[in-house]
Amino acid sequence: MTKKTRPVDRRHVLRLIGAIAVYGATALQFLGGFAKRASGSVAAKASAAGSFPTASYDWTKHRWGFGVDATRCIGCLSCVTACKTENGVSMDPHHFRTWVERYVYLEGEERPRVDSQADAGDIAASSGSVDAYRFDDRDDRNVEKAFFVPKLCNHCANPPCVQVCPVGATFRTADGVVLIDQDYCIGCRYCVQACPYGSRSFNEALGVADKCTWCYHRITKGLKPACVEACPVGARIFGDLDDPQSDISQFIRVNRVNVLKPEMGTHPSVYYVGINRDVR
Amino acid sequence: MVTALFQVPLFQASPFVGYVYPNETIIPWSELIVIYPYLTGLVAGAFIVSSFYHVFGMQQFKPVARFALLTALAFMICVPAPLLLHLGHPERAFEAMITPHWSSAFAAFSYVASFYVVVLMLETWFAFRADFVASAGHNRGLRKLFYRILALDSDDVSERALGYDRRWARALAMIGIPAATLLHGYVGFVFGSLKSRQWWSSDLMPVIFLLSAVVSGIGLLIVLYIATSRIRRTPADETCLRALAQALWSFLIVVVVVEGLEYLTMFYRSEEGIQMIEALIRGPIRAGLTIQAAGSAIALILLTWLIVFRERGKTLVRGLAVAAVVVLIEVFAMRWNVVIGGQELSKTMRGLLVYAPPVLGRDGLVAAAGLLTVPFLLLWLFVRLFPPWEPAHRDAHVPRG
Amino acid sequence: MPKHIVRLVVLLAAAGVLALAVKIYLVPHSFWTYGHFRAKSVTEIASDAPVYQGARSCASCHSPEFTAWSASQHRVNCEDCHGAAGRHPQVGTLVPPANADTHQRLMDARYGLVTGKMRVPTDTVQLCTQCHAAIAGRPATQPQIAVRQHAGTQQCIACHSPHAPKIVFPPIPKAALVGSAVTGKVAAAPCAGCHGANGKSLTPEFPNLAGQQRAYLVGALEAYRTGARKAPMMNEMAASLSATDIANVAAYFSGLGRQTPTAVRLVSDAGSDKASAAACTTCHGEGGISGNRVVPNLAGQSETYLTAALEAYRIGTRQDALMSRIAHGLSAADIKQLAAYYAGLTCGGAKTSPACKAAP
Repeated sequence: MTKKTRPVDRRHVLRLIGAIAVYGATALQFLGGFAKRASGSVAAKASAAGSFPTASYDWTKHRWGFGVDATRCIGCLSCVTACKTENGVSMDPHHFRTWVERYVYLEGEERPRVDSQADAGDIAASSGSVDAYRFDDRDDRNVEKAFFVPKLCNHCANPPCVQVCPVGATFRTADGVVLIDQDYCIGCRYCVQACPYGSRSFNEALGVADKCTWCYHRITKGLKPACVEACPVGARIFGDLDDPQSDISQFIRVNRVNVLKPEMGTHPSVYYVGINRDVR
Repeated sequence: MVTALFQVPLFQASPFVGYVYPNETIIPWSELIVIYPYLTGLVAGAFIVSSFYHVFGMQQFKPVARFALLTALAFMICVPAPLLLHLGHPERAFEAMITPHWSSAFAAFSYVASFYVVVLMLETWFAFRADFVASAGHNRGLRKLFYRILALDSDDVSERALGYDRRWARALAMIGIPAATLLHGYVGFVFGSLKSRQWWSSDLMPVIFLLSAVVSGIGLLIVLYIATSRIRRTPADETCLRALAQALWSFLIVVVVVEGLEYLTMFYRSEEGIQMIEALIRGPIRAGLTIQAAGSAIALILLTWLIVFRERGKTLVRGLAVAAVVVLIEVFAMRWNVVIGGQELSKTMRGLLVYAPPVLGRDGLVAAAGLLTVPFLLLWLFVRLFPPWEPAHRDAHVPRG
Repeated sequence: MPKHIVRLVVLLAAAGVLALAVKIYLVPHSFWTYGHFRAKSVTEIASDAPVYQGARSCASCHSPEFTAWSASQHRVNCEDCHGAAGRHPQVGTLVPPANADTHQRLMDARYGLVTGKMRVPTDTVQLCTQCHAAIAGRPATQPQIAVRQHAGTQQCIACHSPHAPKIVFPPIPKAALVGSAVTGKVAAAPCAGCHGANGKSLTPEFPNLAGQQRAYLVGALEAYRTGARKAPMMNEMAASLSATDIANVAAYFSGLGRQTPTAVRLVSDAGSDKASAAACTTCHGEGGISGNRVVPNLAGQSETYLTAALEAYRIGTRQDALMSRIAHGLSAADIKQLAAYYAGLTCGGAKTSPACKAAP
């Protein structure tokens, strides 16, 4: 029996050597990973001492804030187009980082009729393009009062979306912006549920949550968010709350500002002028 | 062509009335998230029944005790499936374990659920260890190897060893009860803790989820016990059935009362937005609520009748089977009304959405039905591998207390 | 302790240690550097390239447009109408590296929008009404129009410059308010040779003046006098007039009743003429009777004169910011049609016009 199995034995030995090589390599890789991890964290600490997140931008030197002057908004939706283009947001009427609502009060009615550019009646039939988004010219002849309200993420100081994220894929930065790490998000949509303002959506193509970043890639380069840049009437105000001369600081100083759903205890960083109690 | 047939659109927008935030038109949590609390509920109920015997020594539950344990295990293993299937990136799910963000109810889930699975597996292991040893003894080849591995290559079934088993099993069951309660109460917390949704935001949510979970689990056990008895052509133990009926009745009455109190409080307070809640009840979830209410009523009447008139034999079996099935449907409707209903009420409190589940795709009805079938198949496999009905060493499972 | 318990405990401990090792190994490097998140992700997000470049980036190559835009009150940004600049004028899309992560893929999706060419909007009615259509909710400070009444199906840029769209009419000259028609009749005697004693022109080359807008007449005579508007005979005639004369002459002619035109209609399809004239009505009024005092009435004007005037605007021999722009977009056939249309109109439609009150 042993004689017969000799070649098999040789094969056995070869296979064993092969297995040792494979497992050994894996184990070494594993250990190497630990080493890399250790050095990696050191590198991260070192860069933390300098400017973060980029070489030219230090997030401890800013505290961003956003203002919305609803009395100026003309409902042109340039902001929506700009946002979708700037941030690669799906063009369909179900995914928005920012959108515009309209509150219409008809004579004799106590509650407003609310619509947005996403309402079917306001989109040209079957266009599916953001270029066709526009507010319907309501033929309600007895409009008593009407106004537009731009909406976006409130970048709350106490964000419910961050609270519910199970993995730490969403967080608030030192300069007051709530971001999503889309390479870490598991796509559970708990944050979408938790946001009282409907500001978050789910990017089905990427399988991750999506939200307004105040164009973090722009504001860290000294630019304004795309929606602010695009607004032709100055209804959107952006700036550094720590700088008393910034647009936003002056806006808050000069106006009597409101926030949305203050009873939620979220402490929004988007300040509104020209809204009433019906705006939620 | 085949792929075209199964091609599913990336998302499905729901129609709405009134005003909803544009992003809300895609309902984030589909029926998979209905199935998830439903499955955990079944686990909790089945486990409680097994604990009636294993911890509290209630002899009337002995015939189903080990089966209940296998049921709980089979269903618990399947609990993460709907969650994983629903994730945009299931392959990243482990992140919840490596960097759990403890303020999130979901972060706790992975740990609570894993802990509970381990406890369940250990308890099952102790309950069945003597059987593993016996099976390893009278099997050959691969099967023998399988049971030997399961028995951790130990054939020690001495009185001393079995004594250890009993003590460990009992201790584990005692840990298991709070774990099961925590697991399910926490599922209620996932919904109840969200201030953004008025239909969910309630202090009573964990309690309601927990109690209805136990109800559904007992219901499932009754159905399975009666069905397996028929398959095995052995009459179901009537004492056990009556005890199950009483347990079901007791939990059901508490559920009905607590849910009633929840509605009473809500309508008595009549806070802002109550009109929209009324519209939700009259509109999108009307059918679901009708099933829930009618189901509870029918089951309660049937159970009361069975208990009061001390029905026996076929009447008891049939009546109890009907009541249990009704309870299973009713609790499913309740899960639907909470999970889907909560999302059909807009955060604007100015509009209602109507969710129609897709048929195909990851979030589709086919996938959901499949997910509800898997635990039964798993249970069948478990029962084949570890027969729960005739314990090899009867004494090993009788608790002392 | 029985061996199976010992083995179980060892097994559990091993599993626990393994789990811990995996956990430590898998946690991303920059996690917890600044909090419960991957610090590197902030850098990644901040490093994305902007797509909207801002109006200033357009200035160096498109300076005439930029200058016109900067000087106007039209604060809408270049990219609101022309689309995001992205990497314009570079052509081609960014090819993502093989190991592109989510951010790089997103960026590529955005750059994919850019072909190197900027969009030049063709349907300006669609574009401009995005901001300027009168709809419920728009604040009163925003200039708004009801499109149908404003310009029919005409494109907005037929009259408005897209970069500085506000149309500025000359102010009403003071002289238009003070002249005397009685004195003017005497001063206007030399005019009768061409324009007729009743302001009804004797030759089709010369315009009828009866019932013409007084402020317009003052403006026209001033322009002839200063040479801003060129016509040898008129320049000479106007040079001999004083400011008072001009005021009086204008008062005289504007007070005369409009005469029924005698010109034979060359083109008689009045229906389609009216449609093509829809844009003119914004200034020249429904029925050719202007609502703006510095804008001339056209109803019943000499057809030959109207044709010549539009032609002059078109080729640039007569200058007016607005009319030159409009005429530039007209074909010879258009001009013929419009001239015929207005020549054929009487005062019928607009009874409130002072010019028509005097009409028989």
